[in-house]
Amino acid sequence: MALHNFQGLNNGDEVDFESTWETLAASFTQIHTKNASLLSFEQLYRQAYKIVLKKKGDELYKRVASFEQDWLTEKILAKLKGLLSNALISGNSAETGGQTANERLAAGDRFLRELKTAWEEHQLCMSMLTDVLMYMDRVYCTDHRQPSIYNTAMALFRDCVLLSRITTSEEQWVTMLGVLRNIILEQIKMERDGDIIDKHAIKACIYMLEGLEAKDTSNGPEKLYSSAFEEDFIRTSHDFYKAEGETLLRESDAGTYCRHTKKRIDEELDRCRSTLSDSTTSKIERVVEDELIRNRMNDLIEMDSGVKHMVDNERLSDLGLIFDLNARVDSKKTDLTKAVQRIVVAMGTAINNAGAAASQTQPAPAPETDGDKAKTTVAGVANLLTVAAIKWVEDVLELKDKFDNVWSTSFRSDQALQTALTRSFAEFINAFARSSENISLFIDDNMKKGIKGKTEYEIDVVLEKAITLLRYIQDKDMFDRYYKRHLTKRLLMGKSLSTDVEKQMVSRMKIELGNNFTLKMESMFKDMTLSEELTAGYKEHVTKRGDPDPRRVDLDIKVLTSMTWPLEGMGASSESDEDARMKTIYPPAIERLKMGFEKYYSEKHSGRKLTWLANMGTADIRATFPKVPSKNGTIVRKHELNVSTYGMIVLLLFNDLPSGESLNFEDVQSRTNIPTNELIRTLQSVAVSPKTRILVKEPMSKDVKPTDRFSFNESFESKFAKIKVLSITSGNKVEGDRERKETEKKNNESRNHNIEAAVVRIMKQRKELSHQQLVSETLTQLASQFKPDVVMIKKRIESLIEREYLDHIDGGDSLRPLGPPAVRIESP
Amino acid sequence: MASSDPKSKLMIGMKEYAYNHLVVTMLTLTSLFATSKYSDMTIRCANRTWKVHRAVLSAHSAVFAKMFDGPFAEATSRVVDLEGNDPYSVAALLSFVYTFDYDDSEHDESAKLCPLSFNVQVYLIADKYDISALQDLAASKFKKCTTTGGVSNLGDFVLAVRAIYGWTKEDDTLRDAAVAFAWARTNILSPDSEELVQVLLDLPEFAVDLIKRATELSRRDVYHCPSCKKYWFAPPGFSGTGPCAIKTCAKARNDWSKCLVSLPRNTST
Repeated sequence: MALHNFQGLNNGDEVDFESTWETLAASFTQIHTKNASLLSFEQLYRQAYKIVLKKKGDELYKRVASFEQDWLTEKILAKLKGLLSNALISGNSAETGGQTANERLAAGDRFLRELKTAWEEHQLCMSMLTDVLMYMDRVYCTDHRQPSIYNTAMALFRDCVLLSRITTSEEQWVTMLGVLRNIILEQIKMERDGDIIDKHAIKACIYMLEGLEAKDTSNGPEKLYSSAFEEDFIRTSHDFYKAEGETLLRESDAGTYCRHTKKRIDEELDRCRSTLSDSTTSKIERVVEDELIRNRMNDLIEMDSGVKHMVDNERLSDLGLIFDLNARVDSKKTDLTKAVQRIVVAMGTAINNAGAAASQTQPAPAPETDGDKAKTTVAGVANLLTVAAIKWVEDVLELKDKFDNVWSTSFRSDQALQTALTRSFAEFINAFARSSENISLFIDDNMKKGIKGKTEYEIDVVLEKAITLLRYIQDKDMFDRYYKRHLTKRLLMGKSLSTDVEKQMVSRMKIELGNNFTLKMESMFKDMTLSEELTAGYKEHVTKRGDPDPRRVDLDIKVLTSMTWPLEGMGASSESDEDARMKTIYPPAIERLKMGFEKYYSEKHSGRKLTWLANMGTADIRATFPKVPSKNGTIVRKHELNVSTYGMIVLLLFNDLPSGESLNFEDVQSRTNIPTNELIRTLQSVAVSPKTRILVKEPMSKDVKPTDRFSFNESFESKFAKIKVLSITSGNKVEGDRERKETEKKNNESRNHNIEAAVVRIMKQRKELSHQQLVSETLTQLASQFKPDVVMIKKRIESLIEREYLDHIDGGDSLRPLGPPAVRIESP
Repeated sequence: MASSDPKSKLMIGMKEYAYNHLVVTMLTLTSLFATSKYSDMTIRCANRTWKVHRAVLSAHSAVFAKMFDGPFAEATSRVVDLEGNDPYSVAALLSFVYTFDYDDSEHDESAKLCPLSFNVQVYLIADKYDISALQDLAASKFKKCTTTGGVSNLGDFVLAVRAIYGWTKEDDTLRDAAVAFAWARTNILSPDSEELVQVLLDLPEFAVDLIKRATELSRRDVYHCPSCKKYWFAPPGFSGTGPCAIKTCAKARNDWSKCLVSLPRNTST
């Protein structure tokens, strides 16, 4: 009948479940014993299909699971257990029972490989079973929400093999999983200690753990890997690296430590890739970072061979390693930053101390016996001080170069460390009272000598260095004061090697510190140019008048705008005020010249008043000394003397004096009206200085006393035709303590003025501000010039209130300007 | 190509040259089947053999794919014995994998089945080898038989119903189709038919489905179309507007409420 053929299924053709199952089970055994090649897929498939179609899917499913359970327990587990020695089970390497490490390693390897094989075969067989049981999975499992037979079988491997208990003693047991974990952990430890292990076997077992869900998944789905292995791995790694960190710190130097740490991190990352799981990478990295870096960074930096040692010995690559380690755990590099700051400040302070020590040489003038010697000593001391000042700058620059190098090479040009370095340099530079003066002296020295024979590029480097240091200076106004003073001397005495370079320097400062800062310096240069024109113009004027006097005196004049130039500090001491200068008595020839120029000048610029600053000038004099006998007969000795203007005035006195006569100090003073101090200095330069003794002092000594007598030195001798008579204070030198106090006092006065100006400017603009706001605004406004003392600002505000420029609003804290602001802002 | 307008469906997102090429390729496949060219395996069933291509079968069926892929005997012998299957159904399956269609018209062979049962056969073999497209095709061919009068006698229908309720699960497409057909042809359900009574006794699920259908329909509104003069049940979610449910009429009306038949009663369409 037709029904008979209905898909081979009809009501009469009852499926005998038991016999069908027996056939299937026999085939499954074949599959497990790798004898599948004789089995017909179609037959197996059809049998399973029929069972499921007959609504026996549930029974089939259970039978398969139970078949696998038996197989795993009886065959696989038994085999694996046979490989376990007691030592492997206990996982305690101390109880090796005579086993060598190598034997242990080999036993562990065998176990791992066997487990790997068992797992892989289980997977392979189950995938074949699943293929044959495809209809069951598709129809029965889907309809009854059962996991696929494959997944169930994998879970069975976990439950029957991995989680099976192995009894070690009467009351103790471990799971197979525990044994596996211990073996892997032990092998990893061996690898860390330098042994070679079978990574593939471990990787395969790890892969298995990753593929299996943990059984107790109360906290959501979790892989067996994380619950049964990873946690322990991380914990033991913490212990391992903690101990290693301690040992390393004790036994190695910092460089080795860094290299080792780097190596360890790389090893662990590599281990995650090759042996464990990528998902552990970040966790183990964190462990090594914690134990070897984060918890040890401070010790590492502070150890004897730490950062200080590295900086001192230029261990740039080691420093780089430290930086890398620190950066790895801390984006701000806090530990390293602090250490570097401390080191910079310490090294800087050492330079400061050396600088201060050098300046202490001054107040110990050698008790003199011999005048000559004593004099050179005084000049020498002043020179030494200048040298010390310049050395300070050079030392700072060297330190800066050193750390720039460290920064760019070792610290990977890191922004945070740059900021820290800048702050530290500023800290110690500003802590040094003479930094402004020294930097200015450094520039002065370069302008006068340093840049000689240098290429444009080299000069550029020098200028840039000076600017670099200038950036650190907080009290720019002090520097301004010194720089203008030093510049004045260079310009007036023609000491600058190159006006171009001077101008370059000023324009650099302009870029760095703004227009206001260099305004006056620029007008100083303008004065210089105008003066040249005036000198030339006057010369022409004189020539035109046709005064062919061969003894005419040439005039090289510098007309200085009075408020622009810092003349108060120019060697003129407090007593040489306006009056004293006015009264200087010039020799007739010079007086004529002076009158002539004044007339010429007032024709050009009416209404301007000229004040002559004899203390600033120099004169070239041709002097003829009496004939003296020599090898080649007698010769007239002519020398060209370069002396200060005062020197000229004094020497000219002796021109008219009959041979053999002398003048005493008071005579000279009354005839010249040169201020006492200046006169003493002048006489020292022409009568005491050993090489320029144009006058003879009686008695001969270093000091010039009012009772000394002076006469023309007829027997003066010199190898040179041109002789420069050095004025004792002519060069730019380090200030003495008294001068320094004076400078500071002046600076404070101008600061007071600046503060008041700023306060009034702010109040005019803001109309109303609280006291505190006003102070902070004032600080901000003045930051580019100097860092004012808050007390100073408060005093100025009080003073302004007292003088009724400001008023408290309703007696409160807020302030307002009073009336139409009547403050005229004067420039200092 | 059973679908009314295969081209329009295939053309979605397909360039015309590609469509044309597809047709040519399918024809080539058909000829490969016919000539056994490049065939790399044999299928046996009853006394028939077919030379086929593993690649083609694997592309349609995961079961065949695994059968050739694994380490089982078929992979090396390259012979599959589909014993126990109806050879006509196997032929239909093979026809489908090469041409996407099969012929369900009456066979000349002695052991032939009526088209109704044959489609059920194909439906079941498609399920066995996991070719859902063939299942869909068989189901649609089955429905076509029931609606176009392909059922000539009660015996054929009963045979099909037995097969359907014997080997499919609840809510199967074929069960729905069989019940719908049985309900529509109330004449088939004549209680005089002993054969039918026996089926209802044998297949209680079939009886249950029939009753469910009856109660479900009795809750629905019945409309009388003024155009074609036929009665029809409101389809689920009917909103009172739209075309007449009788496909041959399909006259659209804005408001069917006037055509609502006040008393629900059993009506044949």
